[in-house]
Amino acid sequence: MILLLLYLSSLFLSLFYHWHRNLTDKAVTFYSRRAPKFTMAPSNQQQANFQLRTNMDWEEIRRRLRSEYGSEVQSEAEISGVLADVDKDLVDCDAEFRRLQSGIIALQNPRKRLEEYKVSLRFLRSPIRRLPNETILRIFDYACEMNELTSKQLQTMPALAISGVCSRWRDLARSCPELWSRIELEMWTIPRHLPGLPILDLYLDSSKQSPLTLEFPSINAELQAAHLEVCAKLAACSDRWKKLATGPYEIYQAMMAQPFQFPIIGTALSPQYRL
Amino acid sequence: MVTLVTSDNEKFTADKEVAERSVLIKNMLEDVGESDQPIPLPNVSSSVLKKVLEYCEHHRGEPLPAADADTTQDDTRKRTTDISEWDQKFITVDQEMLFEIILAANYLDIKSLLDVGCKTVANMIKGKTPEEIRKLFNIVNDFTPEEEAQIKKENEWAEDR
Repeated sequence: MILLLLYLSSLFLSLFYHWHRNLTDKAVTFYSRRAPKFTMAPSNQQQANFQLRTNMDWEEIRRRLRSEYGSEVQSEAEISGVLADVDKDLVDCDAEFRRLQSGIIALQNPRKRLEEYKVSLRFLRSPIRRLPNETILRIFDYACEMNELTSKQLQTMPALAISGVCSRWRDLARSCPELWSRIELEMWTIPRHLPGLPILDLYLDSSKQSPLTLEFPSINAELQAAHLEVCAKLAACSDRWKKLATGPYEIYQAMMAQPFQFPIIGTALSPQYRL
Repeated sequence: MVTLVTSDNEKFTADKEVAERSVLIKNMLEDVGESDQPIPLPNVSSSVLKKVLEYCEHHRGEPLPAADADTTQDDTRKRTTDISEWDQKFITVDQEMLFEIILAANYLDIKSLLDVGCKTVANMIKGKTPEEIRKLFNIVNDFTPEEEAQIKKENEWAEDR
């Protein structure tokens, strides 16, 4: 009887051992089989040698998710080892991600420099570079028919826009006072925080002794201190006035208020006055 | 008839009246007198001369501008970028050809054609910011940091912030 009990218990233990081993092996195979090696593209610094521990068998895990309920649910111990491997893989993934990211950042700088170099090389053979200075100035002269100094937009101040393109254009524009001598002012839009309108100083200085064409298209007329300051600034160079066209008579009056000399003036127009 | 030889050795024949719209050719013909000798134009390629002759042919017979028209430009030259319809269509070419035509007009001394070219480029510049102009003509910003700072200051005066 004892022998029989011993035989049965050893048989039971043996069966249990085989069943358990089979299950564990299956689980290990299921989660932990070494995945194929991934070889990343070589970077400029080092070649990646990145390998996942986890083999993700989605088909198997879906089957288990749909079938293992109640008593079928396996113990935590069964998957804790595999979960640990997954966590390690995630850490490794993040490290690899950071390595690649720093590689990308390291490439961005030389790439930007290469793009700039390419643009510079292209400019060397740009057809506009072949034009002689006098032809460029002829073009500028046409482009600078009028400069609207109170427009608050560079697009309508061609002399200023041209002088901000490149060093050659700036030198040429600054060497040609005529480009800066055709000025239009919409008095009522003079910026309040820029008393005296510094941009007007720049234009009057850059136009040197060139005859001035001044236009005031505004029809609204109520002169404030800032407007009178601008009128006085322009009146101070009345010897250079060549053409003066004022919309409101008040501006005309303010410009003519003092005994100035007009040695070269050809046209002075206002709605009420015509010289 | 006048025979013209381009930089790529192509020969063009044109009426004397057409060719003489170029002051350079007119002077050369006057210098050599009655001769059948071809006139070499080493600075003009065949594709450009073809365009130039097309322009001269269209404007044949029109009065030529006075020789000193440029010196009194501020007083007399009408400063307008208007271009006639035919000229506009004629000058609608790629940038490379546009600048080649301007260079040829300058070399051959054809003032009206030079003006059409310059006005066209001026119209392209008008209404644009420096950055837009750079992009349009493939121009590189080559300012020093000091110049950049000065330009920034000037532009601050121009723009209401």
